[in-house]
Parts: sequence; structure tokens; C-alpha cells
Amino acid sequence: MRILALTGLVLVTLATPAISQSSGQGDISVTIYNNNLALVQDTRRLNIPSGRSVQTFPGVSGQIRAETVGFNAANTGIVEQNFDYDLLSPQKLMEKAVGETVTIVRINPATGKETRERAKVLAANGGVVLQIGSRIEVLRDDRLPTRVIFDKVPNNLRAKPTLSVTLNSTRGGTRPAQLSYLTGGMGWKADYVALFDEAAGKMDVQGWVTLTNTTGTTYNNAKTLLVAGTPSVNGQRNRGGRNNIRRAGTESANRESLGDFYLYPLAARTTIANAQTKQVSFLDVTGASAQKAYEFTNRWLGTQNEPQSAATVLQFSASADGGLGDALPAGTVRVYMKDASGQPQFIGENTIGHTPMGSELGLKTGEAFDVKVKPTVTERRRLSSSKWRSSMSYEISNARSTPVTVSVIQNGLDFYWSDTRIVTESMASKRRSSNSIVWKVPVPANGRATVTATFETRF
Amino acid sequence: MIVRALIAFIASTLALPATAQSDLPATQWARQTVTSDGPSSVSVTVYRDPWRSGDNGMILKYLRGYALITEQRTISLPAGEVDLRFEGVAGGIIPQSAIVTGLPNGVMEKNRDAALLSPSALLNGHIGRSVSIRRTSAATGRVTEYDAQIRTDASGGVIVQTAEGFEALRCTGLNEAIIYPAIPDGLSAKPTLSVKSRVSVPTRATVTLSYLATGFDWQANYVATVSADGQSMNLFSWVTLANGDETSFVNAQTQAVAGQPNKGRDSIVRAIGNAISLRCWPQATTSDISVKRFERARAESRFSGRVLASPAAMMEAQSDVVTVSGAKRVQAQQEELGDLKLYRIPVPVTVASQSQKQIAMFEKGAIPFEQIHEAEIYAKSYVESNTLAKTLRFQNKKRDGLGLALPAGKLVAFKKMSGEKLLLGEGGLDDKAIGEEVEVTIGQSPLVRYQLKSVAEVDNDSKSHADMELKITNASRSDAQVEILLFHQDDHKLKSFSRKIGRKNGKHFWKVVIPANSERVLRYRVVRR
Repeated sequence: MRILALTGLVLVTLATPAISQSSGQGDISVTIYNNNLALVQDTRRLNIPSGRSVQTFPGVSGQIRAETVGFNAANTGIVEQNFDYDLLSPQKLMEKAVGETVTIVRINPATGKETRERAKVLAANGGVVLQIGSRIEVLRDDRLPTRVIFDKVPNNLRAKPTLSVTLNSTRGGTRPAQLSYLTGGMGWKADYVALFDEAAGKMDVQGWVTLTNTTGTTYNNAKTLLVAGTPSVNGQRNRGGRNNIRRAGTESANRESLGDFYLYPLAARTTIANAQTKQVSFLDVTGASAQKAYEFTNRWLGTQNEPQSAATVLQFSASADGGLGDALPAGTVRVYMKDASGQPQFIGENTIGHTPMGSELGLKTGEAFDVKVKPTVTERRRLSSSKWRSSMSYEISNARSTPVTVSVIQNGLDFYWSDTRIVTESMASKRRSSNSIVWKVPVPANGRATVTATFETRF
Repeated sequence: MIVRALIAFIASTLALPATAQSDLPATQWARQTVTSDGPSSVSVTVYRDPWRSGDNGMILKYLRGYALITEQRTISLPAGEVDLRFEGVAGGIIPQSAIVTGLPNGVMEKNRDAALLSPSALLNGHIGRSVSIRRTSAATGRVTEYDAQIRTDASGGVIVQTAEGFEALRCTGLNEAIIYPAIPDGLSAKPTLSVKSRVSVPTRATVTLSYLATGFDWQANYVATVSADGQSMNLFSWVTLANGDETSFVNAQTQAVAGQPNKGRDSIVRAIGNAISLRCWPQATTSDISVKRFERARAESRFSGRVLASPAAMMEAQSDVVTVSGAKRVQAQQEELGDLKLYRIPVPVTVASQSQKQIAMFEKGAIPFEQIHEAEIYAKSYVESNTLAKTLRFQNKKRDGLGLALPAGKLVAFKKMSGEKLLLGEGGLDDKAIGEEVEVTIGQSPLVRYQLKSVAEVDNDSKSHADMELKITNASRSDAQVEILLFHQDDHKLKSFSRKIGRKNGKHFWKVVIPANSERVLRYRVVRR
């Protein structure tokens, strides 16, 4: 007993004193979606008396969507559910005290002597008007220190927005009650660390789940499940942004799924603190195959006075066969490469969407310093009122000491009309779509190459 | 009251050593916090602001580039579940980019807590809890303490419950303070990065922490000195780094990366920690002297100094130039890094908080260059006398004394005139690879100008053309190399040029030397097709 007390003291005195929050939460499980949405399920042990009673729930999310609350306890029916967001403040307290009687304590500034009186609050507009016996006064009209002591606080004025449920129970006693609700302010995404070894054509990838909590509430010891998906909320469709998938995969990942969404449960219960960013590893792959490529995309009639850098694109696959072998939740991929001293250095980042396993990805990591393309519209000729001939030249330079291949992409071919014809070209192009062609141009080390082409268009 | 005094007495007399904790059986996963207060060695790699072109200089007050910080930290780890807290990291850390290696059993989770210890956090952490209210009498100096419970959060005034009833704090005109018994869990002075790991045997480990941090930037700065004869120039270059973070990196291995790595925007949970909003009930009185103004004036008179440092004062950039006197000059060494260029500073340097540092990159002499006057003009426009841009052009080739990667930055050009240096102008250049032509526009020439007008126009059903006259005037005492690019609408055609015209960049190109104090005229016809 004595040792116990002493240990307690040691903790208080040696460490910074800290109180642990008894939040009122029960057994918490949190399911977090990508789009700033989470489902919180909170099983509390409540002592519910027989008959009608009102239960309040402290420790719920500060961004609770009250209309999504569900409550469930044995032998209990819900009469009504209230979400009170009228917050207690000095002004509110005084306004609600109009007509009530309060205690006034005046302090004599010279002697410190206190004088106590009962006063009725008549009004709280601009200043507070009081009736003390038969006198009418304005509070602190003399600017002397005066305490106002209220006998009570109105019931519906709260320190925080509070959820309360009026219950009708057929029996009394403590039993588990399940509270569930949706909340904003919690979301997650993936962060990938890719260490690329260009010479070996390999890369090591670690995937981290990054979840953030800005709900204003800490969830203690919560069972946490992450859902890789953005369910439609309020009927809003979620259109995907740029996802960098070159070819969508057809493999299924060895993970639990919920409908079309993969689930990423955290292995152990964890405390998700307010204003916290938490990361947990979910993927660790070494030696996946990866290649680097150069791409340059030119818009229709794009012409440049100065050569422009080609994009450096990192190509890899999410397939089990030589790739990352997993479905990849949306997030940011940060790519590193070892410098001459062996230290990893950052070489660029890009985002991916939710990527099915087996997909092929192409991430632009940056612009190449040494590989540049200068596109020029060399001539525009009008053949007839609806026929134009445009001559293009693309001058590609390579200041690297190794030969490179640059994919030069010309876009905008079906600008308005799709009957674009390539009249001549200095090397064979490949049609990517009705709108786009690509030349794979080999460029010698420290050398140049030029591609020319003539297009016939309606404009 | 008595109990509190007793606890305080025991606590002060019994300075018990920490051995009480080691009585715990080793098998139990005790949770312990280990704090690493700083790195033993650090490396800083600075990346350029991805949204800034070569023409724009760095703004020291608002650095939008970033850095990769790699730190080695040596720590003693006890056995058990360990929360390892990293202190002394850059304030601009992008927490989701943090990588921690070297822990014997790996990392269970990484956390970054942005809930800060502040007056509002203290109050919010004590809602419904017991605190003490301390009142000091202005008349007698007597101090009294009351037990009270906090009934509001920090957003709109403070209400406490005492044995007597409910009171609003600081609406009374008394000297009042809240005394808190302890600090709520999970609050720290600064946003803190920590990792959780399970350690099986106590070890001393060297942990590597690397992360990206915002608030850095760098650029190249070129100083071109044109020789007296105006035919060649000397080019000196600096690597200019800036650290806008509140953390200094002492004796850091320092690098800068040139090129354009792709970088998105990072969402970082903002640190929370505020003052308490102290609002009271309406406090107007019947007096015509404004109490509020009076009280505010009194409150302000207590501050003698400035309330807030101005941004300029906060970012007093000390320029810091690394040179080693007597010995060989320190120069940044260029290495290849994939498709980027890495500049390594060969000696450890201190990348100090809120400062700019310059290290020499290279110096090359006798570089032949051309000074041209140029403009790109729409062929069928009317231009009353306008200036031509003054551009320096040189080839980034070994043959011409250069032939090395030129990272983006500013170039300032001087000319030596009878021992004095004169400023010619300043411009910018983007990343230039070996073998490229470099053009830097250093200003507009007031003396070499152009004028464009139409001298005759025909516009009817069968014909539509305009006869144009482009006149270049040179009022300077030397010859001017002039290069004009003429562009036109797709359904227009230029013909009947009065002088020899070439093509460049898909446009008509007139290259001409205008002798000193003279003019040249180009006539052409713009025809609609």
C-alpha cells in the first residue's frame, strides 16, 4: 500500500504532472474513409433506470453529425434525441438570469471588506440593470470590483455541444449501450516511400497509412479500420482526380474487402489523439522492378523559343508478378535515390489514385535537367477553306553521357475534327488515340535527334 | 487544503530516485517515453521553390522551397514499449514524409501531435474538473484560494462553479487566476514527432530520421563581368541557400538539388493552441467615461516594448558567405542524381535559422558572348517607338570556356570601365544543360528602339494587304546587333521583304547590324490568304 502510494508520488513529481482524461468513452471502434469521414461506434456501460430518463454522452466527436446518431441498448426504447449546441458563456448566463435573483459581493477597494446583497437581474442589454431591495442600479456602475454569484446554470447551456437521448426503459440496471455516428474531421490517405535503384532497375517501397484527426476529440484505445474508398456522401459523386494509372489491373489483393472497397485494419488498438497525424505501415516490398522513361507532351501547334525539359517518368507495376503485389490505396509516392555518397536523396513525388492490383503505373517524378525538347511549328499552309497543312519539327537534345529514348507525344489531333492525317513524318509514329500520337525517339549520348512531321487538318 | 499541503510536503521531502520503476518485472510491456533532444549529425539537402522561375529571386520572408533533412540520433532504449520523441526537428516538417530507420524491432506507428500546451488547452482539458481560483486583494494583498470547477471551454468566457454558486471569471474587476493541478495528457510545447516501437532488450541505438521540411529555398547567382573590350566575360557563380525555419542545423553536411523534382502540396494538421477568449456580460455603465477605453489604455501602458516584432525584423537575414582564408576556396561539387544535379558543399557548414548562405559554385573566364538587342513583334501591329530588350547570349560549351550544368538563378552583369565596375543589368536564366545556348535579358535599351507602322493598306473583296515599315534606330555610340522575330496570324502571309530575311523558331527572322547613330528600315507586305 505504502509503496503504491510512493510510486504514484514519484510519477507526479519526477515527470511533468499529467491528468489522464476520463473522457466518458467506452469501447471505441473507428472506421475511417478517405474523404474526411469516419464512423464511430462507442459501446458504453450505462446505468439506465426503469422508465423515462435522459442520458448525455460526453466524449463524442466535436464534429459529430448528430442526424446520423444511432443508439441501441437492451430493453430500451428512444423517446427523443437532442443535440444541444447552446453553449454556456458569461453573457448567456446573465441573459438567462433576467428575472432571477443573484448574489452580489462588493469589495471595498480601500479595506478589502466584502458586502453581500441579493439582487434581482432586471435586464442585460448593453449593461446589467439590477434591483437591490428598492434600489435600481447598473452593475459595476462605480467600477468597483463586484462578484456576481449565480445560484444555478440553465440545463440546456453546455460547455460543449452535447448529445442527449431521452430513453424509456422497461427495467433498471447497468448494461452495454451502443452509440454510433458519422463524423467529419477524420480521414486517411497513403504515403509511399520508394527508393529507386536506376542501375538495377529495382525499387523498394514502403507504404504507410496516414490518418489525421481534427475532430476536437481524442479516441482512446480504439479498434481502427481504414476503408480504401470514398463512399458517396449526401448524394455527391466522387469523381477521381489524376490517378497516374497507365493500365488498370485485374488482380485481386489478398485483403479483406467491403463491397468494392479494400479494408486496412490496424493490427493493434490505438489511441487517436486530437490534432494528431498517425502513420502505420501496411506495405513493405523490396526489389520490385521499376524503370525510368522520358516523356514530352506537346499541345497542338505548340511552339517554344527555348528547349523545354522532358518529364522523367517512373514506371512500375502493382502486379504480384514482379511488381508491388498489392492494391494501392490513394496517396502520395515520394521517390528517393542514393547519391554518390550512398545517402538517399529526394528526387520527386506524385500522387496515385486507388489502384487495383496488377495495374501499371507511370509517375512523373520531375523534369529532366539534361533531356530537352524544342517543338516548332515550322510552317502553316492553307490548302483550301477547310484544309490546313502544318509542319512541325521537334529537336531533342541529350546532355547525358548515356543514350536515352524520349517519347515525344503530340496531342490535340482531333482538336475539333477527327479527320487529321499525317502527310509525312521522319520516323514512324504510334497512334495512342484519335487525339494523340507518339514517337519513341532514340537520342545518342551527348547528342541530338530531330523528328519532323506534316499534319493535314481541317483547322 | 490540508491534503494538498500534505502532498506537497511529501513530494518535496522525498526526492525518490527512479529506481522505484526498475522494480517492474522485465516481461511486462511497460510503456516508456524516451526523448531524443537533438541529432548527433545532420545532413540538409535544399530544393528550389518549384513554383518560382529563374527570373524571380528568392523572397527571404516567404521561402516556398523545401529541404530533405537526414539526422543521426544516438539513443538509449529501455526494454518494453517505447514512445521515442524527436525534439529539435525543423518547424516546417512535413510529418507524413518522415522515415525512421535503425530501431532494432522496427516502428509500430509514427505520430505527430499538434495539440499544444496553451491557456486554452489547459482550460479545455479541465472542463468539469476541479481547479483553484486564487484571488489577491488589491487593498490588503491578502491571497485567498477557492476550490472551483470549470464549466465552460475557452471559446467564449470562463464560468466556474464554487461552493457558493456560479461565477464568471474576470468579469469582477478582481485580481483572479486559475490554478490548475496538472497538465492534460498529450500536450506538448511544440508539434512533436514520435514513434512507437517495442524493444526486447535494452540497447543503445543509432536511429536515422529523415523528413522533408518546408521553408527553405536556393538558387544559383551568377556574376558576369564583361571585359573592357566587350568581347568576352568572366562568370562567377554562387550557390545561395536560405533557411527560413526556426531551427538551425549546426555543422551540417549540406547539398542543393538543381532541376525540377515534382512536388505537390502537403496537407499538414495545424498546430492548435490559443489564448482564452475572455468575454463577459454587457458591461456598459451610466457614466459617460468609457470604462473599456480607460481599462485598455491602462493595460497597454504595461507593455513598454513592441507587442509583436514586425515580419521584417523577424526575418533579419544575415548574409553569410563561406570562404576559407588562406587556403583553397571552398566550391560546391556537382554530382549526378538521376535526372537532377546535386551540389555538395565539401565541408560541413552551419545552415542557421533565418539566414542566407552562399558558397562558390565555379568561376570561368574568357567566355565569348554576344550582346544583342531583340524583340518579338506581331507583324501587323502599330508600335510607336519602343525599346528593344538587351540580351547577353553565350554557348554553354567547353569550347567557349563553359560546358557545365547551369542551374536556374539570377545573373547580374557588370562591365569594367577604366578600373571601375559598372552595372549593365540583371536577368534570370532557367536550368541550362551542357551544350545549350543561354540567353539572359538584362534590361531594355533606351537608345536602340524600333517603330512599326503601315504605310499603305488595301482592303476590298478581291485584295487585302498592308504595306508595313519597321524602323530600327540606334542612338548609341556603338554598333547594335539587332534580331527581330516577326510573327503573324495563320491566314496572313508576309512577302516582298525589302531586305534579306531568315527563319528562326518557326518565325520570320531579321538579323541586322545598326551602325552607331543611324537607322535601318525593313519594308514588307502582309497579305491575307
